[in-house]
Parts: sequence; C-alpha cells; structure tokens
Amino acid sequence: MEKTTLLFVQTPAVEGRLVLCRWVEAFHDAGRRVQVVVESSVAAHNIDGLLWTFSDESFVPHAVVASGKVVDERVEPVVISIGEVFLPGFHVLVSDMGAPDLDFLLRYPVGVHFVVQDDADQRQQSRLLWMAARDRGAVLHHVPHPAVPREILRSLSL
Amino acid sequence: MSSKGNEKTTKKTEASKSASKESDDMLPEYRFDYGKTRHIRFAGRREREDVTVTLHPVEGRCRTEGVKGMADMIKGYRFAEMSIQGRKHQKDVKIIDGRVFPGWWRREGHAVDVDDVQDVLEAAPEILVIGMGQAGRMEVSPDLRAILAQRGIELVAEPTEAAVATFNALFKAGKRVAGAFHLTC
Repeated sequence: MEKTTLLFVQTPAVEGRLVLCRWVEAFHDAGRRVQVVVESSVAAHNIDGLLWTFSDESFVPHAVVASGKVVDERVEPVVISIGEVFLPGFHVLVSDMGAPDLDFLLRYPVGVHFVVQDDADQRQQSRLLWMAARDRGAVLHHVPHPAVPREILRSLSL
Repeated sequence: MSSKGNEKTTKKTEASKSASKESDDMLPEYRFDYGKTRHIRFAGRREREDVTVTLHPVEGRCRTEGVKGMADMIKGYRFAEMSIQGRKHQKDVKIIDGRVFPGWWRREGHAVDVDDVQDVLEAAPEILVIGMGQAGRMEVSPDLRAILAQRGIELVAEPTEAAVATFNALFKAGKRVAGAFHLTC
C-alpha cells in the first residue's frame, strides 16, 4: 500500500479556516478529490460558508455529508464530512480537527493537519501526532506559515 | 539427600576442579559449536504457568484465573503504542478472551458503535473496558451503551492510560474482561 504523505501546516488560530480553504482550493485546482473532516455540524456550516466566500476568484464546488450517509463521489469533488468517516475515492483528507485519529489519516494518500502555533496544548497534540505518524512510516512535511499551498503542492509533486 | 550422596558430589567437584586447573585462565576467544546445542526444557514455561485456563462450570466458557505473581497482560502504553505480551502495537487493538486482535478500525475514528465491537458482544464478557484515547476524546454511542446494559455487560470507558490499569487489574482478578483501546488522542 502506498505510504501516506502528511503535511503539517503551521497556522495562527485566527487564520486557521482561511488557510484550510486555500489548501482545499489548491488540491481541487490540481484535480484532486478532497474530503474535509470536521468535528461538528457547526464547524461544517462554518467551512461550508467560508468555501464560497473566502476568495472572490475561487470556485470550489462542495457538499456537506452527515455521518452515515452514502456519498456519490461523482457529485462533488470536495466534501465536508461531520466525523471521521472514510470515504473511498477521495485522494486528500484535510483535517479541521485539533487531534485527528492517526489510523483515519493514514487511510488516505495525502493528509493535511494544521498545527495551531499559538495554542500550547494543540501544538503538543500535533507533536505527538508527528512522532506517531513517523513511527508508522508516513512521509512527513512541515509547512511553515505563511505558505502558498499551490507552490508547495508543485514542489512536492502532489 | 544422604551424606553418602553429598560426599560423592564433593569428590566429583574436587576432581573436576583439579582436572580443569590448567585451563582456569580465560582464552582470548571461544568458538562454540552451536550445532550441538539443545533446547532448555523449561524455557518459556514460566509464562505459561502464570495463567490457568479452566472451563466455566455453568456457561462452558474458558476463563482466565488470576494467580499470585501473574504478570500484567498489557505491559505498557504510551501515545500511539501499546505493548501486549511482548508485542508492540501501533494501531488500535482489542483483547477478547485473552486473545489480541490488532488493527481495530471503527466506522468513525472517534466514536464506538455497536458494529465496532460486534465480536466483543458475541464473546459476552462480564466487563468491557474501552480506552477512549490518551485525551479521552472518543465517544461511546447511546445504542452501544443500551445493548451492553441489556446484556448485562458492565462498561468501563476511561482515557486509555487509566483503562489499561483497569483492564490489567480485572484480568488479574480472573474477571472475564474484554478490552478495546484507542491508542492516540
């Protein structure tokens, strides 16, 4: 099985979801199917709105799927799932969760985890996740803030 | 042992001492012929003796009986790694009737539902200990709680470190305990 590439993207808390949208857009533009995983319906609603409005020039068609629903992957190239539900056919998992489940992340070819740089607890969780992912053989990349997602994807051939 | 036997042993020891007097010094190198080695009869026996498996007289099920000096089944846990009976596990893991089932995957990463522990329900333990992750973020569904209550299976849901201690104590006490452990957050 192909090794998962995990991107640990550093971001200040206040820009977190805006940065998330830029990464989703970059992957979508590169022709990848993207699943965004969130913890709650409130978070899903928030990101749903932001994906339509975060940039005047972008267009990222997407849908929100509730836990337990079957997703037709042909319908939308980007989905927001409430809860860590594995959706086959999606290439990239972008996690909006502070501490995502490693097994879940490793089921996708590419995973994106945001390291919230101004939250000590979350930084520690990210550190533990990094070490565990390294031990499991994932290919890890640290992306410092600020970064241009499109350029990073190009340089890593993702 | 008789005094005659002792004498015999002493004589033999002295004899062997004098015989090997010339070779007392350590050689710079020893070459052993490992082809002539034999298995030690008692190697590995102690661990097996720690656990007695008996047949439960009423239900006809195997149960592990705690015995004095019995080692912990789960030797250690740290974030994303659990050591069980000398093997390291990096994926979530279940223990049912003393058997280890690595790679426990749930339909949702941080939620445990009925389907995720179907094999535990079939084994019908007295107690199910769920390790909810290092930070205890995992959730047990109301459906699963209801089914466990219905079947008289006690549920202990704790952060994984505490759950490991609980599981080990119950296992040592001879309870029919099953465990399901989430190893990360």
